[in-house]
Amino acid sequence: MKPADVIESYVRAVAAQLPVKQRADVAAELRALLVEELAGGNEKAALALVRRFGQPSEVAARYHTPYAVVDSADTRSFVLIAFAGALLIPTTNQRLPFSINPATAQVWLLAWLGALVILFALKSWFARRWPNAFRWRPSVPRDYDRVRLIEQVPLIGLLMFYEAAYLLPGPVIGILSGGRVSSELLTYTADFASPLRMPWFALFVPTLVGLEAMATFLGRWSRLTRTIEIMLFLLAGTQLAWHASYGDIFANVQADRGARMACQLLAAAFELTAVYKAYVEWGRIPSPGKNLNPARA
Amino acid sequence: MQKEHSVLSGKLEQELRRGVLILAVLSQLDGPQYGYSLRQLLAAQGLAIEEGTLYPLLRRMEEQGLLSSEWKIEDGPPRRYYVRNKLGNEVYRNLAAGWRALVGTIDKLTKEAKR
Repeated sequence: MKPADVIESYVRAVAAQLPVKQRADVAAELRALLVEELAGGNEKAALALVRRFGQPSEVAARYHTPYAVVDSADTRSFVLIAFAGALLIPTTNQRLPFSINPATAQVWLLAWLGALVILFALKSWFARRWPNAFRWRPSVPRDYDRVRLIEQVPLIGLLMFYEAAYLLPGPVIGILSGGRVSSELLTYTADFASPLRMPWFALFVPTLVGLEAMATFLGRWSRLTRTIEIMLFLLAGTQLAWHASYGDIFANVQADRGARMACQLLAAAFELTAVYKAYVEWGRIPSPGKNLNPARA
Repeated sequence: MQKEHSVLSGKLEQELRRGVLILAVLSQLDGPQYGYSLRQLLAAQGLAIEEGTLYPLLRRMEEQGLLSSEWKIEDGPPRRYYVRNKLGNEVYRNLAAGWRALVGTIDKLTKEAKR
């Protein structure tokens, strides 16, 4: 290869990665400069020169201000949201009431990632066009250890309702449906009521209620109580997922399908809560002591 | 360990130099220069800059409005000549003053700092 060909090939490789309106001008200048740098050298010298100059993509990036589809500052958020969204995609376990085939799950996953890329690209474009649009603003730091009654009381109420509906499905659903659902339809099968299947969730939930009530009484969470709470959410979710995918709950087919759907949805809620709480716990930033934060003292 | 040390030092020195490149380039462009001649000029004064860094930098500085450029033919092939413009002159004066103050401060800090 002639030295001129090496240079021309390099110039074209750089120019091809530049905005169209810049290409011809930069190519002409770069060609002239490289020829001058080469000063009549041979092919080896030409190759050494362009290697020293850098990878064409890197050099092209130096010629203009490149932009990223997803800003590097947003990469962490992107990955987290991508994972969190992927967790929400229904399972491919065909034994569950809500399930999709693996091929559909792949399409959903790709669609989700594609939608995220577009959203982050739009955010990146907005931020470039209106730099103040996403300007950081201070907010009162949240004390995650402080118990909030507004969150705690509904949670305890909801958990107690789950426990009641789980232990006495017939009467509870009967009342809720205004008597339209017969209690007889909602009688657990003997297999489900056996010690290996039914009692565990009924034990986890009151333990969780007790823990939530204790934290509410004390007004604060500790590392130990937070960890126990995460474990209980995880155990309860796992138990419900097992109910949704394994064996009959009610003898009546329709009631059984409804119960397994409810179990799957609740399992997802428990598991996602556990994952979220575990993530918050894992990335927890220690609160400053009072002396370090005079504004709040 | 020693190798990692020198690699890190090299990288940090490169970053330090990158920060002052614009000032160095502006300082030499009170008259027209093309990329190659500017690189030679800077190298002759002790500041060797890689081609792949300097040539794109000239373009970016022109985009920022600090330099003006034009294609000219003077004893050789057509070349693109760059020169400081009005904004470039103002920015250069500010940067040079800032640099002198910074050098004084850093000099004082590094002399006072315990080794």
